Amino acid sequence: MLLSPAERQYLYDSLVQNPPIRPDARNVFQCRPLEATTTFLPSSNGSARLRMTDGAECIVSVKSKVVKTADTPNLLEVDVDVQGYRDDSNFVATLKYNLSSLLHKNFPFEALKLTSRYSYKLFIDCIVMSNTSYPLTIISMAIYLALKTTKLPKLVSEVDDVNVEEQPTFSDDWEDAKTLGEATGSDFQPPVFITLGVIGSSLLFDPSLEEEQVLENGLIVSFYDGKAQTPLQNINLALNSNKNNYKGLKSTHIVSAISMVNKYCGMIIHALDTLIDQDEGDGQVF
Amino acid sequence: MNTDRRRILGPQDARIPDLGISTNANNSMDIDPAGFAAEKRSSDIQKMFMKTNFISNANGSSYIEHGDTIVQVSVFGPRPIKSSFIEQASFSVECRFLPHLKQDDALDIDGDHHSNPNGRTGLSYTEHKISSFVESCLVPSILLDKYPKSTIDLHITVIEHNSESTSLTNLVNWITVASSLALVDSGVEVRDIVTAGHIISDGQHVILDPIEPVSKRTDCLVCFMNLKNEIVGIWVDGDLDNLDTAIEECNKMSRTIRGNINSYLLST
Amino acid sequence: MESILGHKVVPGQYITPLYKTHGDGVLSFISGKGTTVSQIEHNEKVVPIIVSTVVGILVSQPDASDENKITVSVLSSKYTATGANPDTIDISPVTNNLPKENDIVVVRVTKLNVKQAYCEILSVESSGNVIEDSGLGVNGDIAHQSLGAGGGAQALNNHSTIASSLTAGINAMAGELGESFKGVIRSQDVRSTDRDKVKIIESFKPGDIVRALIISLGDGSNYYLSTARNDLGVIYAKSENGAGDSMFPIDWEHMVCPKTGVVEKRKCAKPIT
Repeated sequence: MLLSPAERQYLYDSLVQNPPIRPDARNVFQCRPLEATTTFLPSSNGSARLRMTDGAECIVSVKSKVVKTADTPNLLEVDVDVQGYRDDSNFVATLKYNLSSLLHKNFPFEALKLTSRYSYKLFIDCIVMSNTSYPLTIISMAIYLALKTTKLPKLVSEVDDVNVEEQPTFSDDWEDAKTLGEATGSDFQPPVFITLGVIGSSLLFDPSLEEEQVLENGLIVSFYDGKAQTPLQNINLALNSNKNNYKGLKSTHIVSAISMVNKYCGMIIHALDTLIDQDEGDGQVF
Repeated sequence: MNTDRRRILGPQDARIPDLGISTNANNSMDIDPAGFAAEKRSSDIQKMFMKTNFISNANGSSYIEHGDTIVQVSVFGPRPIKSSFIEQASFSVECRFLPHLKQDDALDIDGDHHSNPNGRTGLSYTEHKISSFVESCLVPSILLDKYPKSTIDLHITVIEHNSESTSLTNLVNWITVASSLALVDSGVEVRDIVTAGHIISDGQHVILDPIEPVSKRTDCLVCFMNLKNEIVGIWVDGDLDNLDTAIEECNKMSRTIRGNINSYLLST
Repeated sequence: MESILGHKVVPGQYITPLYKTHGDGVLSFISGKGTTVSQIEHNEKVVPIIVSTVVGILVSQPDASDENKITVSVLSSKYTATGANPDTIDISPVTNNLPKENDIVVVRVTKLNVKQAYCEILSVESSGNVIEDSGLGVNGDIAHQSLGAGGGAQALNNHSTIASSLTAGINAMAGELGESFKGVIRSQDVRSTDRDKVKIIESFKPGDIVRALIISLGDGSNYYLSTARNDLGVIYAKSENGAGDSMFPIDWEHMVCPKTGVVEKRKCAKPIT
């Protein structure tokens, strides 16, 4: 067991205060510090590596493939691999389901359209090298960074191929490649998931492993297009804790979760964008 | 011509008999969807049929029929474990669709993996997702610390589900109700019976327990413990506007179901 | 509460607050089996209320010494004969609660070694069988048949599946076969005197039915039991390792077979004083 009964009680009592006292002195809406590198995998269209202070590390690679739109029901495929968990475990399957449904519901699919017949299909592969707390937030932030820096080759053949059967051809010059933002002609911001811990009447952004052990419930809320979005679900974040305080929620929790996400997630996105700007052109991981 | 030399394929002019194919392919269209929708008022909950305690070698079991949905749940436990000491029961949920059912997979995340449902050993992603959702809904209700050193296992079998007419969330709604009923039937001590409500809304109108496909803006499934009005499970798709009204409507529906379950339990 | 006393209740139903004024005094209620205490918020005050946790019949029993203390219990209808008159129901609450410390249990000895006797728990005194049989266990019809992995009970389900279980460690897997809760009687717990001279083989034999006290929940697999009391020990045994007839105790460490006159050594119980 991770915490002794006395430690649990101490942590619970400090978190249930109003405002909560978090063990790392964070504010309720603060995420843990993180460090990230983007565009470091030479054979991927986009990539990101994200590390947290607690040792959690996640690598995301985005690759693309040209497919016939009519034959492909889904232009985004997410695969998740977590060290120490079997691929068919409930833990990995649920992460994958949630991330797929997040991206499926909140993605500008028109950016992937090449011609009237062909589209890009994106394969998003996530590897969680190590994790302590529930890794959904870290994976989804890494996906954000990877998608944001994904560059797709520029199409040089005709866009309209309804009547003429023609294979799409692409510019050889990598400098011509466009990011997804440039392809949509707007400020493209991929969706992210925020995990919120519920304890007493408070909500905690991005709970750490120790906090998860004493939480009363957990919520995952999506953020896209400048506001809270669905999927919105509750989830038991305390993994393999054989003594949990898991309880029901009040509807006020959900309403305030949405307003908190609306209020603070913009800043998180802004921080991630700044990170990309600072990182640009480096390409070195180590 | 393609020839496969590795396998014995049978004669080339083989014909497949038309067995098992209905001559009237439009059978299912006999019900006029518009008429059906008109008959069911938006504030109604579809009729349901429930039965408990019919599997003799499970500790508890339940069966629910609702529209095109048929769900059966069995509870095993508390059973002793074979490993190190745990001070409260371990609770696990396993949800399976019968192999012939098409699983609602709008996300297509199962990809090619579900092409051979008969030979599979693991669960599909949809089944995993339902399993963990049901687990997180029921855990707050069970008095796990009354059962040290044991496991309580819940097996859900989806016998019938029409993924074209019924949404996944509506199915999960009835799965949760059936699971909770099976737990009560098993005699495992619970704080409260978990019941669920599912609504869709287009911004102005709210439809309770939608059973026909409707274009929707918000699809909201909320599971409650009615004693303290605690939300034990929430699954929202679509728009987040007016979420508190949606939760309120789900609560109404869960109370109606709860009333039915209460009177069923008291009469058996 | 009076209005529903003796009636059927469902889980999550209010029974009574923990304290209630009654004339000049205060009635205090104690949550018995089949109930739990829930903290209900009412007008911004938190009131502890006894709530039913099983489907069953509500009964109450005043404390023998203080009649203002009343224990309320819900007798699970799953274990109560239907149509029974609530006034005559045995007050001992019957639910499928597992054995706890200080419960008296009846066990069957399954295996011996020099240090301890292994046994399976059949029932808890005044609580009935440990678990209502789920078909596979000691009480099941098919207790001696072999079953495939997964128990053979469920279509399509198998043990290789990793179903959801976030609440406890992955180690908490149910055993494939046999659903009885196991216990051990260590040699030092067999009797309270001359503990170091106890020989397990002279105290129990496999197949004996033993009345024992639970002294600890033990480890993951075994409860720890004790027979170190006059009223605890072997209550039923057959001679010649189960091949002969049932025996009667002649003193606290000998039993005799009335047909053959064979005397065997056992740690006998004296349940009736």
